[in-house]
Amino acid sequence: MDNLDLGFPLWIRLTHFFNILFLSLLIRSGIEILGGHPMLYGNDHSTPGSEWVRFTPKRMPAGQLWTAEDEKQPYSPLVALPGRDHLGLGRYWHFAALGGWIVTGALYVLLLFVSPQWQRLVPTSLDIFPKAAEAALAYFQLEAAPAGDPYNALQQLAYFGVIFVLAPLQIATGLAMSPALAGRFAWYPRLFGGRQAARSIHFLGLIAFVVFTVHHTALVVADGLTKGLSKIVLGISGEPTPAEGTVAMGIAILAIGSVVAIHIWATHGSLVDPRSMQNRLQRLVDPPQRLLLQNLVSRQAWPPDAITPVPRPNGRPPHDPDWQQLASDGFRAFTLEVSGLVEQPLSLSLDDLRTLPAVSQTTKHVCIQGWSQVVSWKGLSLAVLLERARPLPEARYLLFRTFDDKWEHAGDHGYFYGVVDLDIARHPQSILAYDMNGERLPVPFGAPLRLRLESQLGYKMVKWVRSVELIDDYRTIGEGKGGWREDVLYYSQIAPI
Amino acid sequence: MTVTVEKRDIDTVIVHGSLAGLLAGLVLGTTTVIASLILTGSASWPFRFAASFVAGPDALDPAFPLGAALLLGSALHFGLAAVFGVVFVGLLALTYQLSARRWLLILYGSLFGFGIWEIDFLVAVPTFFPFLVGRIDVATQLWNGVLSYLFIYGPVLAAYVIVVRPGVIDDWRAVGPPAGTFAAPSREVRD
Repeated sequence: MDNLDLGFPLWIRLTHFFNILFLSLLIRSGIEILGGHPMLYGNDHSTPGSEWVRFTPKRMPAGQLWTAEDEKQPYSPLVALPGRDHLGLGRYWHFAALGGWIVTGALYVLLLFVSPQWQRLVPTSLDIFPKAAEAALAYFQLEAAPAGDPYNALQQLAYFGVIFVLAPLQIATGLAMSPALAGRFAWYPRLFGGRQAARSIHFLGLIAFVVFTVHHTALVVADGLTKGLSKIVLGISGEPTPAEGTVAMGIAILAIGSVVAIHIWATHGSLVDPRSMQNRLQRLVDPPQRLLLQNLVSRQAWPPDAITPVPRPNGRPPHDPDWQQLASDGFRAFTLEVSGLVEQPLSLSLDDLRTLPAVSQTTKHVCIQGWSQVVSWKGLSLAVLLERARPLPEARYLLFRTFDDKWEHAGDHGYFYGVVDLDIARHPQSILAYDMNGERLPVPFGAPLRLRLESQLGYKMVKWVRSVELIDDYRTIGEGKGGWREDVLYYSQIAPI
Repeated sequence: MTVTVEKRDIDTVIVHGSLAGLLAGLVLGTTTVIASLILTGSASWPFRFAASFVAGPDALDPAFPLGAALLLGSALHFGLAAVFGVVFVGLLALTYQLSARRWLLILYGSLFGFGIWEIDFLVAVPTFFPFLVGRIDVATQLWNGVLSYLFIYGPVLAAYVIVVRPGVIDDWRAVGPPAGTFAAPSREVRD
């Protein structure tokens, strides 16, 4: 590997630029997502007070009903994309940037190995470790960075680690947070110590990327900014002429300026016109998610000792007078109406529902905010309900209407509703739950009935269910995005990750 | 309805950051002088080293007045220690880490100390004080450099925060399970 003159071909320079763009978008949108539940745990119960680190100045009160929504922490748009508590759009940006980052990375690695450029990064001998120690020692002695060919051993190890260890680890731990993947392949999150441990590692990976970026930039500056920029902008290996240095600096300023401009556009656009941004991003993000994850079928079966001791509620019980009337009588007068595109409309009391074949399952609830918990549920299989109602051929979705008037949410956005794909509803672990952990479903968790879709994020699992309607299109309902949170908080209609 | 457990306050950051920095600077300075005496036989070397930032390479010469080296070196050392202390406490306040777990604060302190060493010795010294490069033997650099920042300056900063907890107004672990979770709806819950 002596006297390598690999240079910096155009594809390296371009992928470097796109890496800066997508990585910076990933970091800022990742901070937005962290704000959804700014605590990190080692246990999948997400037990309040057990977090190993937290990025919020508040805690929940003792002796009052609080919900996971209260735990959110809005961050400034200066650090988060888009900032100000826009978890839905933050996720859209994260996944959109992820797509770009993966394409960039895949192209980079492919071209790296079909060219001699792999020698730049891949150590070919165990000598790399003693040589890296020598390089570290030189730094300790305040000597100039040891010369490399093209990198010294310490640099080579650092770059190799970031590209071939850290980046794949981030993708792998990100996937471990998918309820669809974890529901189908329960062993996968366990590779990382569980869902919350994977989330913690994912966060530490973000910090590692930031630390690497700072060091990388500082070393480039220390080694000579003009020289470094001439390499990565113009592909000049040696000392640049003053004119080349000026051109490189100019192009670099334009490139960094364009990255900053994209961030400003993304942030401003998301905050000022979130609906348009949601529409744009969902065209980019939803199809691959639907293709890769949406159809995975949950097969979870957690043992009783895995059940979370104190589960977290989310959403406040309704103020709807009909629901309050029903609740005051223990929901004895409640009936579930099943209507719409069905051959046989149904009207079922809770007692009727309980006489139908029941499904029991102990599963991990994964909230879009980031927390998780294991809970035991019992209820009616949606497949059985559909079998009785006999959907018409044109039926494509189940529309769940609720008693939840969302009184706690500022503005009048109507009652909470949710839309579920018919295919998902037919999954064996898709149920209407009436019992939780061996007791009647408690009020804060959605009494008298709530939906469980174990391959989806929690927000798809409608609570305080009033009725089910089979429909062929949801675009005329509410704001037309397929659910209350999709309408109001700009979430996605599909939620497998 | 949530309980605020820590506050961001510029006065708190400046006052406690300075105090933490001065304390950590005192411990770091003391151990550095002792280590220098053991490793090089000279207790004045750290003062001359720091003084050279202001007075130039002349301060390294034994002919340079010791009193001036002591004064200049100490002033610079404690000045920087206080400034970095304010930065440390400021960063903790910005990221809501003033109430963080003890082990985490120690880790933050160590990493911060390492970062300060990097800035001081890997960036500032070669860039602005190149005459110092090559003047320090490895043992001194390892001990009085990276290790003392990693294991003394940073952790002492953290220890100050752990003991004093500036800006912390309540215990975040005092969270209780949400009341009413398994109860029938009451008037309190509904309203």
